[in-house]
Amino acid sequence: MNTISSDNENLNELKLALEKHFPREHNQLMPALHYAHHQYNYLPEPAIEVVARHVKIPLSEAYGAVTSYSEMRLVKPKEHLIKVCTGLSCKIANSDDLLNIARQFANKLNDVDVEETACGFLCSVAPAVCIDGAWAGKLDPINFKTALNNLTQRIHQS
Amino acid sequence: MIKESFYKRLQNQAKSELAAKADKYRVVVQLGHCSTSLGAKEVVESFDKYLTSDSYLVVAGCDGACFNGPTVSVRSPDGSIVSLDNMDASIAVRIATLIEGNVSPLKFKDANNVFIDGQTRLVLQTCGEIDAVNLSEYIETKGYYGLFKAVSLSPDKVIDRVKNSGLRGRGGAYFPTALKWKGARKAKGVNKYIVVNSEEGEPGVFKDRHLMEGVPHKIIEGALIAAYAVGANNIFFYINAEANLSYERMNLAIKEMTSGGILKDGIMGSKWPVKIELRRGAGGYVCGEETTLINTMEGYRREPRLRPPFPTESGYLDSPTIINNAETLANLPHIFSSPISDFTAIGVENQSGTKLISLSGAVRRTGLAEVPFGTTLKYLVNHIGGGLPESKSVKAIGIGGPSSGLLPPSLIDTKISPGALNEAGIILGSGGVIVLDDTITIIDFIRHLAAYNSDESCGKCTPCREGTPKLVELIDKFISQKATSHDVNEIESLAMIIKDSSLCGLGQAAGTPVFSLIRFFYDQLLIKDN
Repeated sequence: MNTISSDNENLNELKLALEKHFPREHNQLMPALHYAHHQYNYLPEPAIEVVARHVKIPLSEAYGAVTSYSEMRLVKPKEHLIKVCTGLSCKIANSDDLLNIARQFANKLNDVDVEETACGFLCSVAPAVCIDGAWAGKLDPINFKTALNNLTQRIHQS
Repeated sequence: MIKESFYKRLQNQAKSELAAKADKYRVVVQLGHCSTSLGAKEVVESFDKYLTSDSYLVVAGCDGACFNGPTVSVRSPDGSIVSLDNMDASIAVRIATLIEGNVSPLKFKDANNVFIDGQTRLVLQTCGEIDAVNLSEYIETKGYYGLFKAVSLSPDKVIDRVKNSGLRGRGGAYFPTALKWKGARKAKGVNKYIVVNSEEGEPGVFKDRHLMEGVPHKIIEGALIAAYAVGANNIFFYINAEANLSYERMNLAIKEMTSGGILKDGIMGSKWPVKIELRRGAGGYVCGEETTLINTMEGYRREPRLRPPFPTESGYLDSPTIINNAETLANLPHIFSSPISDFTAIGVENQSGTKLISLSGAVRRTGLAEVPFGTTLKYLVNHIGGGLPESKSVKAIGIGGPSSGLLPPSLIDTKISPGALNEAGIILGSGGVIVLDDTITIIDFIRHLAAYNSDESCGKCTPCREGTPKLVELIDKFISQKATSHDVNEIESLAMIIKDSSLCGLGQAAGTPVFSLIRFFYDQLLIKDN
């Protein structure tokens, strides 16, 4: 399990924010987790603990809830994320080719993750890929590679 | 009693706001999740930069013709409208120049509208044409008139009208809406809740997103009618974790609606107060199942609950709770603002109204289409979808998502209807239709659906948790050509056990892809001892 840097300061900030925005009730667990997730881009264990305390439930219970939802990350993601949709519509539009291209691309770099997603809900403009939060539809290998080149440039600039 | 003057005042406000712009060019850009992925945001930014005071920019949702996006339409002061498809940001400066030179009407090729003209649009009416969140534009198109009519009736009369309309839930179960409402109205409880289910986690379905992005006020109006009818003072809009644009538009539309006076101390000046809250999902197909949704809202694991008690008696925080799909609610404004016969005349007997179909796959035109119940798949695929490109043919039609299965092309005359489409357990579900062409291998796609169901099993019921991965293993045996006729019996009986012994609808339907494989595509299975 990853831990967050400068723990106490960060966690104190989270604690204060929760107190400000969320009543201390069980039904506020998900909104509070969403809030924490948004702050760190994942859920470090100490943050789950702060949330659990805030809504007055045991850490084990909060952890159980967190692990049952697919959108909640427990591991700090890399700097860049490429999500390739491999749902039915994208699959018949050759998303497997895009997935291979993405994986080859990420292999050469340290800070890029590649994930498959069951549906990006862009079936009508398949195949679709999401690069750092921005979805692109009707991709083919050529314009996907262009998009990846743009990402490379962004990585080098930063 | 709500006075006629209340709605008149809203109308007058809207009219005077829009009249100030009547002599300008109206430029509408359709910006949805779909068209954003094709560059619509850049189109909007470009218009923002180049349009002058002779014109104004309207950001609408996608009208459903996603395959054509980004779409821009321009209305001249003389009323003529030109619609342009497949645009990019460079169009803005061209249009701005034409408008500046007062060249009217704009000379462009008009869009091919077979996709839209072939539909019956009740819910999608005005979607993609009006500003998605602006209250005046919605009221100008008769918006909130249905709500006004509803709150002029007694709650029981409201439920009666919904009953007479024959409206059924559009989330996939097609339960009569009035019956659900009646249950919650009768149930004892100080607090009652309306939950608008826009979790929409089913792969291949994108209808609620289109509604939230294009006509959020229709869903809000429907939810307010529901709250009034069942006696609820709380509405939750439950929105998928990833549907960010939907969330943004719903949020803005709710603010517009409250600041516009629709909901102040009570709905439409009545004494019925309602509190509105937005909640986000956290991922998972099963989260759309209503008891699971309640668990999520209360802060528990994503697992279904035993029924009874049904949510209408004891749901969120043990209070009577109505969970309605966004599409169901978006039908209500029309049901209340027009004669009831306008609604019941559409569709077929006992199945009135329309259904939103998320059409994708190998057809030429893909997007969101609204058609009456009773429409054939053939019409959807060949007419609205424009058929397949030459040299390709339909191999199967995936319908109803992972809880359903594949239909062979010989059944293309099947009519869409609530519930089962045939005895193999193929269901319409929430209306996803994926057309597969002859380049695909059937069993690979069945495996895809089965693997999805296995991944998404919440783990509560053993037959589903242990059985769904086993189904995938058995399918793999067929793929690797090691299966015997014994495995056919094995896979069928396992699918049956999962169906019979799972708690929620998802587990019960997890075997359906396998049933469709054996029922319709048996001849394509490679069996060793055959």
